[in-house]
Amino acid sequence: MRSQEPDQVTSESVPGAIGVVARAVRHSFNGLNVIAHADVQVKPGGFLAIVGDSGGGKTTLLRLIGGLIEPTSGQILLSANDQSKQSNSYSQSGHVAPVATLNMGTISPGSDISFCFQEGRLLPWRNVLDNVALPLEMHGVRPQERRAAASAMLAKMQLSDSEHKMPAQLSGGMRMRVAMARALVTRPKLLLLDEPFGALDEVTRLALDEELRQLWQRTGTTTILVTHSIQEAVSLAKEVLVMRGKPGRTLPTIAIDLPTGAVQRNSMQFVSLCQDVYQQMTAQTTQAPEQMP
Amino acid sequence: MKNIVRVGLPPILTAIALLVAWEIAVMVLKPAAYLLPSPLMILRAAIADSRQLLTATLSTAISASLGFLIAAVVGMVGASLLCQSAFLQRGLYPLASLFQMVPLVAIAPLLVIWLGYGLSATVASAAIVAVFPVLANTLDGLRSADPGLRELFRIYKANRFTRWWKLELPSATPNIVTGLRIAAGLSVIGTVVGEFVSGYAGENAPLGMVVLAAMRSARTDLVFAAVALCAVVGFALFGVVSFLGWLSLRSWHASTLSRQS
Repeated sequence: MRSQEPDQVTSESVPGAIGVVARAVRHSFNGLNVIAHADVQVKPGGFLAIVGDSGGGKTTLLRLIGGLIEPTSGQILLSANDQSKQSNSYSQSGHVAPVATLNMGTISPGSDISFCFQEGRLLPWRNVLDNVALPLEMHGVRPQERRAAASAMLAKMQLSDSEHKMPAQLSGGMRMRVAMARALVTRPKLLLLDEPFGALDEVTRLALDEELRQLWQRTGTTTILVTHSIQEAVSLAKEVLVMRGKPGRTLPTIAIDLPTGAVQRNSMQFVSLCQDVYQQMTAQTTQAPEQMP
Repeated sequence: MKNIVRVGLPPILTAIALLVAWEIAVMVLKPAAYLLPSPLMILRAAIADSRQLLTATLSTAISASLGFLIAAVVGMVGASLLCQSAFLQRGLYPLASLFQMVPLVAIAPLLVIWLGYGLSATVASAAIVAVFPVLANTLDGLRSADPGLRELFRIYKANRFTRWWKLELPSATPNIVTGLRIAAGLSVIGTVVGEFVSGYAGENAPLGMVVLAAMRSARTDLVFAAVALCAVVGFALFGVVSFLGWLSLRSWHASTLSRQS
């Protein structure tokens, strides 16, 4: 097992991908402390899985990184690998303040950052093609262009035959693939996945895990996955971050150094890594003094 | 075709059975014709006065349809505006609810004072009684859009209009259809009440006036015929709205999908 402490985002890996650094993030909602302390680092083009107890703040951490909510205190930095984006940071009071303006532009949720949620969140009154084209429509892309882009993305996800079907006509697995296609159609630089396959049966889940792994290898999009499954986390991610307790705290990251290619889930290395993650999730809490609130 | 027979046949057979029972009851009990005419007597009266009844039906149908359309537009636009502002919603919605409680029969004379006798007053009467169900149902639908989808639109940084047009309005469609169905029946009731107060006699007298005139001359058979035609107008309007609602929901909403499966 190799552990890493949060450090500075480095500019390597896939051009255009976004790196994430969160330092000493705390979040309260309606007086309830949800996250006590979170440190996160994902290099541009990296793949981080977050696992941990239910209600431990995993989804909240993902939403904080995506800019859907602001932290009560702490700092979240998103930096583009091509150095053409502006980094945003959250000050201690939680207000967004630019800290490092680079060349041009801003990191934009919805295009540079994409989300995929467990429920899929497809518009039931739109067919598959129009659902996938929705993010492009929102960014003012012309109908012909957005339909062509959506169609191409559906072809990549092997969903061409279902372009004109309605979400109600799809199986749970197909709905999630459509949601994934919608998340990817803008060619995001940061992909945030909140238990996307959590509601699916095991066989479909394994198939979609493999599709996601291949997709990440092809595109190099920085990906953060929240999951309940240790096996899913170890088989997909390059690093696993465990969140413990209520309010949640992050523990040191576990590096996953499995060989490239299809994951052998019965290999000694895979089983050992799963055990490492499990031990970290279940070990008696011994918090470092500097991480105490 | 099979579906039409499966859905349409039971009510038709029930109606025929009830009419036959009514006819037999009148033949056996022989009540005075001005108290309870038999279905065949009503049919004969309808045929004898078919010209007058046809004109009256057309007149009532026009009033009801116009009132319904006004109620539909005002209800949907009003709900969409109220949905944009919590202040407007808190300020106006209770007043709209209160207005709904005022009996239409009490308002109808005011409509005559303001709009005069005839079409305007009956249309206004129909619109007033039909607008609230559309407003209330549309507002409920607009407010109950899936929070997950709302968050999705926040991620896309959608402005208010886009959110309304692409999310809230489509997701409110089932509620809007429900409101319009209720409004279809109410608009006929509103029209007839308006006609009782502000209708006009003569060749173009609407069904409400035919009912009043027939009652005054103890033509109960004609009263029944006119009442039946009022129901036909309401049913036709309801049918058109239901069909349009089915068209807009058939491919995605559970209410139509479950029926198809």
